[in-house]
Amino acid sequence: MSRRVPLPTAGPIADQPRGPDLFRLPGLRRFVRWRYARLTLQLPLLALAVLVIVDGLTGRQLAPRNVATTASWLHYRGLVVVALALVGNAFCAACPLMLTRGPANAVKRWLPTELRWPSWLRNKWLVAALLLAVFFSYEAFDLWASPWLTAWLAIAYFVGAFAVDALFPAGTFCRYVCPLGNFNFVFSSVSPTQIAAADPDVCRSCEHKPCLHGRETRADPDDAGGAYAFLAPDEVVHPNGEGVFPGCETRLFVPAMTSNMDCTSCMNCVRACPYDNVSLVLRSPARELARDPWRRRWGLPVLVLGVLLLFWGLLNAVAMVPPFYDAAEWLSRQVGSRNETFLLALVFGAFGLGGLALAGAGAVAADLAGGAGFAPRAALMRWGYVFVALGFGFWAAHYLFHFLTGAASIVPVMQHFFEYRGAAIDPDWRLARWMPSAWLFPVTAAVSVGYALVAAFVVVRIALRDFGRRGVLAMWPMLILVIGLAVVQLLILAQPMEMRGTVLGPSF
Amino acid sequence: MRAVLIVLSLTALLASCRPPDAGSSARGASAPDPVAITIELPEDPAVGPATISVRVDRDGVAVEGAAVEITGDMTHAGMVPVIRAAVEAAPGVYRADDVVFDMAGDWIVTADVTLPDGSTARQEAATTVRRP
Repeated sequence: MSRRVPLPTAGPIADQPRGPDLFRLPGLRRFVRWRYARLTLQLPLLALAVLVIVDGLTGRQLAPRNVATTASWLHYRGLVVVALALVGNAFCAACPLMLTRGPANAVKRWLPTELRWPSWLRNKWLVAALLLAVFFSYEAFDLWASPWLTAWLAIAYFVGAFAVDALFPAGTFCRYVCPLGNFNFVFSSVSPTQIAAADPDVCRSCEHKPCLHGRETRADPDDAGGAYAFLAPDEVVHPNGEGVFPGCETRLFVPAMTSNMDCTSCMNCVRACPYDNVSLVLRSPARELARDPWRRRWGLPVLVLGVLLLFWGLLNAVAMVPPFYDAAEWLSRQVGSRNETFLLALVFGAFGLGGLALAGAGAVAADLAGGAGFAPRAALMRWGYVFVALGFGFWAAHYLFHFLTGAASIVPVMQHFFEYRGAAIDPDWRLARWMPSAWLFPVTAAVSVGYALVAAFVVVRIALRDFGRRGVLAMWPMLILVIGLAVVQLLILAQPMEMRGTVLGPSF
Repeated sequence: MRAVLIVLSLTALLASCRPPDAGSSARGASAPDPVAITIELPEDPAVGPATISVRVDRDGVAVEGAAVEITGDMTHAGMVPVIRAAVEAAPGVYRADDVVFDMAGDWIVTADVTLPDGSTARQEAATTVRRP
């Protein structure tokens, strides 16, 4: 089952951060190496997902009163960006969709063969298209205002995860299909933690690479199934029980990891490593993006996705402020149509293609200023990381705005869930307001400016790395772009918010 | 294969669902049929205080002595609702003068009515509040 991976015979295997190992925090390593650690994290989110589906399908169809819309569009999104900024990809770690894996494996046994994911889909283009579909549907069908559609979206995710992982190898859904997970993958590049090898020499001498391929540990070798490398309990440092310990389903090899891309934080590697040699190290939020991490493994598609996420994030935010509605009315008059789907398609196209053009122009200008030739693809490959940092700031500020507005509303919403079904509870809606309105702009502006500074730092590092002394010239087009986009973000955040279900005129 | 059939059956079952009616709830279900609730909203509501009236009739006769609570919710999760008790301004007509729409956008106004006999009824109306 295992195959040898050629590693450098000396020196570091990959450029990994060497910060403090968070697994040294009391109890954390022991918890993560426990075989049911992930399940413990998944069960609460599974229970919440069940509530989302039940209340969305059968509850009161009023978004602020329904668990589906409140938990999905307020709490999930808010906590995702908080986790990405402070910890890492925690929501993939606790993803309840992966609990379909058991039923999917059961179905898989009935199928004649496991299909191979088509090679032309082994990239991030499909994910980009699915993310576009989700963002477009969000605006076109007012998903945020519809508990019923939100519940169906949750069901679709579960069915999709089950179907893809039943037909294709485990991990296919996470890597190539899941829009939520890939949003997290892209933006976990600014997270302050990363999985790394504690001692690369231990990995170098490791025969079976269980962090990648998995292992099986049994007291009696005759009980082993043979699908994984067998290691006896006395070969395991800090033994964590018997059984099968799967490796990385997204095919990441711990000592070679230089990016959080595709890392679901499932911690399979930590459990599978027989030498307890996997660390979760602290690092700077700018470290990964300044080191060209995606060139070899993912290349252009993921950088294009990063740029698109920035401009779709801008659209997602601007669609809630008055100037957008005025612009939509103007656009409607110009094209002579009041068809909202058509107008939204134009707007999405303009932001996506316009954003790519703007990012490409900035990157080419920076390359030219640095003395490189005119090569748009190479320029975007070099500078595209800058837009990822900036994009996270956009999404984080927007999602935090909503989260901070009504984070505590989950309490009356849960009270309402039971009141609606006959319980003698009087929901206390005064709890819903969590933070004074006056604090919202300073907090969200600080987040936006913070990640603009991260983006600026990435610009400087890339410029000096690739252009030497001429980097002082090369950085300016990108710095101007970063500053300009950050100012646009601040102007949006400073606008009075308006929550309408249509881009044109009154909804009702 | 059995698991696939179960999943397909459950999906078909759920697909036959329709969203619950806007005004339905455990409370609303207890209202006697002939009760008619009419919510009268401002014609062109703007951000700020508004007057909202609720007319309650049973079999075409105004219902006096009911308790009426008016709630304004935005259509986005996390927004704090505006809740006001309406006072009877005329036989069967209940009015709240201080319903404050604090943000432009789509609002759902709900009238929760407790009739003198203790039964309850609910009605919703939607409106778009413009900038001031």
